[in-house]
Amino acid sequence: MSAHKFLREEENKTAKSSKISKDDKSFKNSSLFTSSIAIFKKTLFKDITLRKRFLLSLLFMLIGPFLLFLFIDQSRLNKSNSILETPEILYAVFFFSFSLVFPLLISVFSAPLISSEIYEGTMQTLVSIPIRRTQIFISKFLAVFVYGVFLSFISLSIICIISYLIRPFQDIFIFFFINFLYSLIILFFFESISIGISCLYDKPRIAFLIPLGIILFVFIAFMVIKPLLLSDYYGPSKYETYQIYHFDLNYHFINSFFFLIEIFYSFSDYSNTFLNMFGVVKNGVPTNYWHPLASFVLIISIAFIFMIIGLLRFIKRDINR
Amino acid sequence: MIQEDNSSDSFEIWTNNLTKVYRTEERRIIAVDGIDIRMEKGVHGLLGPNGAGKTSTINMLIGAISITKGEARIRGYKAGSMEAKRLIGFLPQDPAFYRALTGKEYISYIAQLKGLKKHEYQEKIDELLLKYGIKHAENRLVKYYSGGMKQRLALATALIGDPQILILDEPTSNLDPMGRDEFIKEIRSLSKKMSIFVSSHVLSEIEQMCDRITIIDFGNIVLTDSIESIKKMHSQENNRYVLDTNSNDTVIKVLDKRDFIDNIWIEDKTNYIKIIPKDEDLLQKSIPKIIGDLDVQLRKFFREELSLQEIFLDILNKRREA
Repeated sequence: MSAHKFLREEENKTAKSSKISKDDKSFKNSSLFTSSIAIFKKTLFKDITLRKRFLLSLLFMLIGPFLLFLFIDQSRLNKSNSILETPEILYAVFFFSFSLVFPLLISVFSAPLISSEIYEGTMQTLVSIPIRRTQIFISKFLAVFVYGVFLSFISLSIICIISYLIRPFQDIFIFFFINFLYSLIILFFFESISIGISCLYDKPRIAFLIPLGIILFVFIAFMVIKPLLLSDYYGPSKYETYQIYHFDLNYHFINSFFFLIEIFYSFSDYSNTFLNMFGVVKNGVPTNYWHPLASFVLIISIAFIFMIIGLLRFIKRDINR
Repeated sequence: MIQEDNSSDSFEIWTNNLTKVYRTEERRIIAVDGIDIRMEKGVHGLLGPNGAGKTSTINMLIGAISITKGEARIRGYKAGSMEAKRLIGFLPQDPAFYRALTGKEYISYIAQLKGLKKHEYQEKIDELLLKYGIKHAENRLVKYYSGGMKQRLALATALIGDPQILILDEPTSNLDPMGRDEFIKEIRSLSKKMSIFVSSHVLSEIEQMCDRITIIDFGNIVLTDSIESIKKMHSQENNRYVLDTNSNDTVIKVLDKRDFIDNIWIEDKTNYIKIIPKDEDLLQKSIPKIIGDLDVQLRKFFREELSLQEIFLDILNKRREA
């Protein structure tokens, strides 16, 4: 065989093998996409939206704000044209929707995502299929995230429409936008914690009870004693003396909210804001115990840590029934 | 000199010193203790009593649990890798399904997870559902399926994507006798197209399904060979004869006094005479003559072949006594 012919054959072989490897790679990528979409769709449309919990979640997020607005005494609202400077409405949004119901709902949907599949045995089949565990984790995470975004969008839209009907506030779109961004922080935090814990425990109930405990402690129990700690009526504020704000997740959440407000809005007077009761503002001046950006980074970091621990545990763990 | 090819890619399933240790707070449990499996094409059974380590072995092969020590390969690919998973179809011991999915939705979901496109799996799913008799219930939620239907759906699901090696973990445990019989026939039929690795503790089924078996006990391999060889080997060890005539009581009285017989008795269940000879050749030569002299009718006289169950129990009992 001539050297020229030999070289041409070798070139053909190389071209063929590179085509095969390219085809194989494109098959793997398309297969990765198909399977990720399948998990995402199944989680969103079968595990979440087909269950009674879905209707209940809509009910709480939609009817809740309606009921709260019914109890707001419009004659006692201040005369401000800014909704962000009308604390009564923000209390309604914060206390009901985004401090209690929304995190609870997110935890209810996230907690069983991994643990119930392991507990019920369906995960054993999934891990025998050529898909990566990271893919399962991320697809499920995204499905709940999309649902949370939908829930937050609908709920905030209704809150804004009703608020606008009460009084045509000039900053209603900024209010919507800031609250929507804040709801994403809440969503990311509680979903990461719940799904992270869901990978650590086999029983879905335990995976839900831990985030539930955090929500009840941070937003209910601690809020009951917080005014006492903040008060300097009986001497220096215990909250400041013992630097409790370092460990107060509630403070860091509201400080993160404050971080978003500072980017998109500037208060004319801090003394008339809802921020006073969370330790973010005191006597009309921001306390700056933590820089708002630092609180925001802390919240996101905690969420990431839980998510990464959960993911690593899920990748390494034995899937036994 | 012919060198034995022990490289992992020449076997369907290959394990080397495969070990699984579970650690709890109080103790360390060795579920699988350094087993070497060499599975060639065909149907290979993994036998063992409950807790022997069968499910742990299978879980390591499919990548559901980690390997503590040693290695496992599927056609040369590391067990649990994407390449190995592409080759296998898996039927779990107690198949679990999603409550919100119908039979067809479930199998379609698994097909999508295996990376198949709609046009690739739709026809195949219809074919499988029809073949396994669940086509009529394809739009029914799986939670309303009977045990047999669930098992057939799980088998159909394992077959989607045309796997080359089927791994079955105690596949008949939830089936009634008729269902078991159908299942065994199906496995035999599938074995023409693919290799099958099946675990079970029901020996009669394994005997019907498998070409080769590996017996494990307390995480160790006790024996691995073809069923034929195992039976042959144990039949040589076992020199028990069965004799049946129209007058067994008369025959036993005569034979009891002969020197070439070590032990003789009538088995209650069958009423056959069982003989353990001292001199096998003499027994074979003498029996026809004695029967002729006694003028009784000979119905059966043969060297007893042990069933796989008897061999299995014999091996395990000897092992435990030792």
